[in-house]
Parts: sequence; C-alpha cells; structure tokens
Amino acid sequence: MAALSLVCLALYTLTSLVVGTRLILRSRHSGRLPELLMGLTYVASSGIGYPLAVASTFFTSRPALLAAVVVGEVLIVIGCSTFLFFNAVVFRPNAVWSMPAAALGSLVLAAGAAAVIAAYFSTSDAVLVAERSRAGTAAMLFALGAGHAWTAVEGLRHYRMMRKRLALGLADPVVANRFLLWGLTGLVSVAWNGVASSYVLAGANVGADPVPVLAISVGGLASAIMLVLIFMAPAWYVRWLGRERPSRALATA
Amino acid sequence: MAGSAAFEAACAELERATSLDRWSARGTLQLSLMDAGLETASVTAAQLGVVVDRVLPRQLQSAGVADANPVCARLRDVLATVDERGGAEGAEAVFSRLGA
Repeated sequence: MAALSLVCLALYTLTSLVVGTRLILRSRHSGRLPELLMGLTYVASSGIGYPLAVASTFFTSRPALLAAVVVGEVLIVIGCSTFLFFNAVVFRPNAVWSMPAAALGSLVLAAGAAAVIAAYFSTSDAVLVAERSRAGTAAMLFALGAGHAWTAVEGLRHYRMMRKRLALGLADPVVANRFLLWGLTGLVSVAWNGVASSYVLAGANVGADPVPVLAISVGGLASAIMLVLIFMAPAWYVRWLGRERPSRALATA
Repeated sequence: MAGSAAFEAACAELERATSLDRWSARGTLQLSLMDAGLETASVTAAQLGVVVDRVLPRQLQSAGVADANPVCARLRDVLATVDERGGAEGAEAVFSRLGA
C-alpha cells in the first residue's frame, strides 16, 4: 500500500516539475506574472520541496539531513506563497483583502517552516523532532489548506460564470473546463492533504495506515491527471470539449 | 468598486439615454452582466456588446424603459469607441493562455 502511494506521489511530482518548468519558461518569453507564479508553485513546492522534505527522513548523515530540511522547507514556503499570490493576482486583482490575505498566509507558512527547521536543529531524536515540529507543521498545513479552499471556491465560481457565458457564445468550452478542473483540484487537495495532515498531527504513521495511504494515492493521481488536462491537455481531450459547443470566445484578448 | 472602461462608458451613456439615475443605470447593467456571467471590473467592450444585444433589452423593460432599441443602439456606438488599453487582465484571459 505504501509503495502505491509513493508511486502516485512520484507521478504528481514529475507532472508538477514538467508543468511548472513549462510555465516558467513561458513567463520568461512573455514576461507575464501569473505564469511565473504558477510555475514557481509547481517547481518549488510540489516538484522539489515536498519530495526533498520527505526524502530527508531517510538520510543517515545529519548534515545532509539538515541541509535537505532547510532547502526543502524554504522551497515549500516559496512555492506555497506564490500559489497564494497567484489566487490574489488572477482572481481578485481589485479586492482590498486579497493581497494582504496572500501576504498573511505567506507569513504563517514562513513562521511554520522556521519552527520545523528549528525542531530539526534542536535534536537528532526523531520522536522529539516530530513533537517539537508539530505546531509549525500544523500552521503550514492550515495556511496551505486555506489556499486550496480559496482555489476551489474561485475555480468553481468562475466555472459557474463561464457556463452562463457559453450560453451567449461568449466563452470557450475548453477554458470553461479549465476553471472546473482548477476548482476540483482545489477540492481534491483539501481532501487528501486534510486526511494526511490529520494523521501526521495525531502522530500516526501515515505510510502504515490504509486510510491516509489511499487518500494520498487517489489524491496524488487525480491531481496529476487534472494538472495535465489543465496545462497540457491532449488534442483528443480539447476536441472532445470543443464538440460540446462551438467556440466564440471574445474575452481572451 | 470601479468597473472596466467599457462598463463605465456604458453606464454613463445609459444614464444619458434614459431617465434612469446613476445608480439605477449601473444596477441595470450590473444585473445584465450577472445574467451573462460577467464581472464589471473585467468586462470588455466586445462582451458588453453581446450583453447589450441579448440581455439588456429585457432588463431595460423591467426598469421601465419603454423603447429599448434606440438606447441599445446608442450604447453600441459608445462601446465601439472605448479605449481598453491598460485595462486589468481577467482570469479568463489568464486561463486561456495557461493551457495553450
């Protein structure tokens, strides 16, 4: 079972790296901020930060472990913060609360990561590290969960609006589907991260219990599939969506 | 919250072309945009043109405007001249690029 969740997580990591790198390269050509923010999210957190943080627990050399924890946590904070700012910039550019909310979430993430790093530096006893880093991990998971919930709300809200635009020939069904998938990605992430983090915070072995293993496996696999369909949709999928209604998008200029 | 250049121009013209006051004109247009799944801050002149053709006449009737056709024609003329340079990019534009 644990091997299955590792395979699904590896698939999600690989997909995140490919999607994130593509977006960063695209932002270098276009100079657009949303592509850069989303690209950094997938490369820094899902692509490198999380795998490094997970892999660090297997390191036998203490200096290597500490270096991996520091680099992993810093990348997670960078990636999750750019994720929050993506939501603010793209979905709520004119709202007075959105940028402060993204900044506050980033501060919580940074404080949580600092607490986790401090716990690793304070002792080499794994049980004590888990105990001392629990509050920091909880803070990070809370900020991340809020970010995913924000994503779900915005994605599904925009999908609802896009359905109305489709009825007037004002939208592209492929773009409407991207909003739906974006909202579903947020919902799935809230679910699988929620299950996994509740077990982590309870001090349980996530790799041994079938419930978090199943949640991580299904969540990781579903997220990877949705990432591909949003950012690198195969031609047959685009054709299938386009057949639903002819595209007469006017809003994409 | 300020609307897009197209929205503000249409509101001003609707107020001039009818007996609606400023807030009634904005409200009527906002209701039309909601019916069309659009937002005041990011709506473009092209999108608003479709709303004027397909949704606004019904809202104008509800607001007590007897003959909607000349009003809609005036709005279309104004929308054709709106300068949209420097406007905020909507989420739809971003998402249409991200997966391309």
